[in-house]
Amino acid sequence: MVAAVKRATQSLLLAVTGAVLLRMAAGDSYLRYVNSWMRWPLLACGAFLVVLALVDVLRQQGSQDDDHEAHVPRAAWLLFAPSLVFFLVAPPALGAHFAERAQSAVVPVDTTTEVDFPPLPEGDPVPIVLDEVLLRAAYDDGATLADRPLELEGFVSRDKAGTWFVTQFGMNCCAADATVMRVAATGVDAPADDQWVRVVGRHVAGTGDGGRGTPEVVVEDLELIEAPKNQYR
Amino acid sequence: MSGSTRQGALPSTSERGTGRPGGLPLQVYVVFAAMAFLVVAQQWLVPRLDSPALATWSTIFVAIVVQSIPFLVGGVLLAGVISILLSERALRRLVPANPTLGVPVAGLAGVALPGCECASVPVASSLMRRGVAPAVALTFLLAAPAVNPVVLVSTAVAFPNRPEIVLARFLASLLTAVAVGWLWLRFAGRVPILHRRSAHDHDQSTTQAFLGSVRHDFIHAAGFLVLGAMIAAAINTFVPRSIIDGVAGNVVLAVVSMALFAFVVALCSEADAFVAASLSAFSDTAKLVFMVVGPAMDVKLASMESGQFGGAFALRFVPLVVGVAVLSAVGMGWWLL
Repeated sequence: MVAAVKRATQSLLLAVTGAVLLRMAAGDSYLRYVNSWMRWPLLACGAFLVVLALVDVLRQQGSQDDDHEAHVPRAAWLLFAPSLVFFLVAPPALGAHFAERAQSAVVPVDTTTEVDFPPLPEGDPVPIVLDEVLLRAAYDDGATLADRPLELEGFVSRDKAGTWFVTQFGMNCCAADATVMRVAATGVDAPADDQWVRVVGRHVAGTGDGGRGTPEVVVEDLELIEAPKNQYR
Repeated sequence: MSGSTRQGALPSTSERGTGRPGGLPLQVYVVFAAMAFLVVAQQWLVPRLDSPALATWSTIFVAIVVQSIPFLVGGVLLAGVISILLSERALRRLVPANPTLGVPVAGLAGVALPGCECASVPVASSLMRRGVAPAVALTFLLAAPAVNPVVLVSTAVAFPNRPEIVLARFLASLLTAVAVGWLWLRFAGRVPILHRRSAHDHDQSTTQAFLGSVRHDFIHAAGFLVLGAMIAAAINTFVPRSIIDGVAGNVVLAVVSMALFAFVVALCSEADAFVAASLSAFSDTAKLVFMVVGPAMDVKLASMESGQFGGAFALRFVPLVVGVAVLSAVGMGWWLL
């Protein structure tokens, strides 16, 4: 039997939840779960919940009468769960474990119209994001990528067959809808899962054409790097 | 749940034993001590909780909760405005007296509330509390998260150059909301709906009444939101995608599994179009089913609604909505796509 949630405990629930939201949004940890534009809504919301709790505690203190203890369902206890999980597990940004099971990001391939990509910018190597590699590889056997050393960043994930990928998640709303973008890397041994890397490599013509399958790069240079603040695209 | 059927009555006075006059009840100290203990034990616990599957589950769980709470707070604020600040007369002018007419009006009014589905449960509940016919409030509940401009724009972005998908989604969602409203009016008038209401203190100022209503609605809904998020995160983490993808080939199976998938993953309605677009193995109609069922009903909403309106209500309302949403999406898909 679960005890009913007392009014003062309800205030504690609100205050703890509000404080956790403030804590997340004040630092960078909210970026592991939601988009960057959520910062201000989260701060406002966290502050509001704390104020709501304080107002109630102050108001109740003077009065002896507890008759107006609002009856709430016992499910309200569950509101402690996200705060506890946040402190105890400190959930990281999504990583290699989810990469194998997440939906692949859509490459919008439109075969009816001719698409002319501008050539890649100057540079040796050319820094390029994974979504652009996927998109350019989907057209003309990746003609616009040909013979250029590409500089990619992402974390390491691998499939069951042992191929490893430079990986990043795209996120629309929150981590629950994350879609995975990845480029297979060959030519060097894989670093540990979830390790962020910067690789320089050349696209293998034809891989990832038409948005089917994964583009592949032959790695020429591999560097281990720190994970960026916002790990999603 | 507690299984009580008359929650609408006075707030219980039976359970305040441990409160000392003027002080805090014992419960607060116990909870506080438990939290302090866990925070201290964190150093020891964290390495023991270090499994990739658990990490993925907790990331998705926390993400759903963190994403939803601001929308829920927005919803309870609006609900507070409706229950405390909006005058009886103003409400009467906004909602037609005849419920048969009120249902389609409520459906179209959904266009004006750009929020996620979590916001609309407390709003619908406060509308009922103020005497709006349940069918009308339920139509608003179903329409608001599905037909608002933010959702339609994100659908247009997720399906570039496919305006017919946006149109089909808008029409199918509106049709679902209005049809459920009318069906409820016609056949289910006698199903009791619990009106869980905030304790009405007698001599409160408007501000206090408003804050009391907001606080009550938030605590009420949030626990169920968390429960739904736990289930949705578990599905996301532990059910292999291959099972979901495996059924894409069969027309009937694809529609059924998309409806089921939308129900269990409980995505925010502003993001589900992107997920639907990424399910490339499925037909356009199956994707439409996903986008019409999701905002109308999912595990998180079902959990919140059974908390707000009672289990007996949810047992009828949830299957009704899912059924109507699937039929309307399939019909619209056959006609437009």
